Order: sequence, then structure tokens, then C-alpha cells
Amino acid sequence: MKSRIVLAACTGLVALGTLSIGLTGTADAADTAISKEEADGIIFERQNLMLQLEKDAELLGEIAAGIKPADQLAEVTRSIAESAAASKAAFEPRVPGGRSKPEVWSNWADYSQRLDAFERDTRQLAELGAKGDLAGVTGMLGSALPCKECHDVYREPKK
Amino acid sequence: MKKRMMSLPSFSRFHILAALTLAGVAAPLLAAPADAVRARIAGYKHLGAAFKAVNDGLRRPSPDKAELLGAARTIRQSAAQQYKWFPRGSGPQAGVKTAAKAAIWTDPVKFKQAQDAFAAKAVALERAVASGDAGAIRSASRSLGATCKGCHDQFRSES
Repeated sequence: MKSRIVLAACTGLVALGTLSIGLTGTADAADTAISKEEADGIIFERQNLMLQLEKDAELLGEIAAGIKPADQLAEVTRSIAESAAASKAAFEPRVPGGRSKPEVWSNWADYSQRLDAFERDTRQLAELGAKGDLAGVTGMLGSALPCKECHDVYREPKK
Repeated sequence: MKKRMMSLPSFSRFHILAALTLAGVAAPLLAAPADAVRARIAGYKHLGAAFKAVNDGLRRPSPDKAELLGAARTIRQSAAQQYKWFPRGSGPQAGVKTAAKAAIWTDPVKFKQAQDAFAAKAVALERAVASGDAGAIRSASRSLGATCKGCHDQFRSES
């Protein structure tokens, strides 16, 4: 059971996090108003956000599974909510690079809708976490953190 | 016969002494790469946390200037220290897990250029934070992130 919870929490999220690791694509700014340096900075910011989400999701999965104590529940859910809230702004500049597929921007309506839902649901997750409601958080893991669904569509596979 | 019996213990003592001396010399040499890698990872974690603090602070409606300044100072100090984080022999080799690519040591001029670029941007970030101009801080933060990405793309493996 524990491993299933961890899997549910982490499968997508670890994948989400790997988006940020070792992304070697060139920051080929599609928006010509953005310099290469700025584009690289934007990509690096995205990478860091995703890396933080990966770390937090891993920890949350372990808390949900009872592997780690729940005393960090509020902090980790708050951190996830903060990263989720920052994600949309980080992807808004049309800067392909890293492992982001061009579809992020060509299907922006869908992509941004997913990020809005991610922000909304993780905010709820953080509210439950702030109350110390581990059962509530555990019950939301699958719906609040649908990372793999997004990666399957919008992220290039690891080279 | 007596002479042989007398010489055997002193011969053994010599070998024991030699072995201990060799062990004393070799042990630090064997431990050094792993220690260097550990120190490097710790340094980058400290640096990463400071960079995260800057970016998290910038996302708040009213960034805490003192907090940003502290983080920017940490980044600048880390940038100065990073020159010591890559001693020869701490690269990829059997028994040492590191994401550092061999190119760091095979192309030291290029690596130094990347380190210098990072250090310069770290100073610029601290100046921008001191100015209190949120736009300038964001721009400086992205420029700094670009140097991080540039170095990672060239000198860090995806492990």
C-alpha cells in the first residue's frame, strides 16, 4: 500500500522534476525580443521550479506512505503550492528550450489551463497540509499532482 | 640461527612501519576525491538555496529586501568560493559519483571563463538587489541563471 501511494504521488512528479535536470537544449528564443541570455535565465528558472517540485513531491510521497514523519507536511505542501503558482508565469514567455515541447506555446490555452488547475489544486493541498490533514492530502495526491499527464504531452523524452 | 631469529622481528617491524606509513599517506589520497565531491555538492546546495530565496522573494508582492540582500551575498560569496570546488582528481572516476564532466579538467580555460561569468553576474545581482529595483533584480537574476545553465550544459552530466 505504501509503495502504491508513493508511486501515485511520485511517478508523475519525479518525471516532472526530471524536466529540470540536465536540460541541455539551447535556449532558442522564439520571441525575438528576448535575448539569449534572458532566455537561458528563463529556462533555468523553469528547471529550478521543476526540480523543487520533484524534491517536494518525493518527500510528500514518503510522508503519505509513512516512511517519513508528517511534521513537514505543512511546509512541503506549501512549497508545492508555491512552485505550482509560479509555474504559469515561468512558462508564459515563449522561450522553447530544455525539454519543453513547442506544443507548450502552440497549445497554450490547454497548457495554461492545466497549470491553472495545478495551482488551484495544490493550493487546496496546502490548505489541508496546513491543518495537518494527512488523510486529506493523501486523498488528493493523484488529482492535485497530475504531472505525468502533462509531461506525456508537453515534455520531450529524456535523451 | 640466533641471528635469523633476532632479525625476523625487526624485519617485520620495518614492514609494518612501511605499511602504516603507506596507509597513512594513501588513505587521505583515496578519501580526497569523495570529500571534494561532498564539499562541492554542499557548496552548490547552499548556493541553490540562496538562489531559490531570491526567486521566491521576487514572486512575493512585497519582497523583503534584507532577505534578498542576504541571499545575494551568499550567492556572491559562493561564486568566489567555487574556484576551490573542483580540485584536480575530483572528476569522474571509478568509485566516485559526480555529475562533473571531465571537460572541467581537460578544458580548464573554458571552465574558468564560465566560472568568471558566473562570479561577475553574482556581483551584478547583489548590486541590483542593493538598488531595490525589482525589475533590475529580476533581470540580474535571469542573467545569473543563464550562466548557471551555460555551465551545466557544458560541464555537468545528466545523471
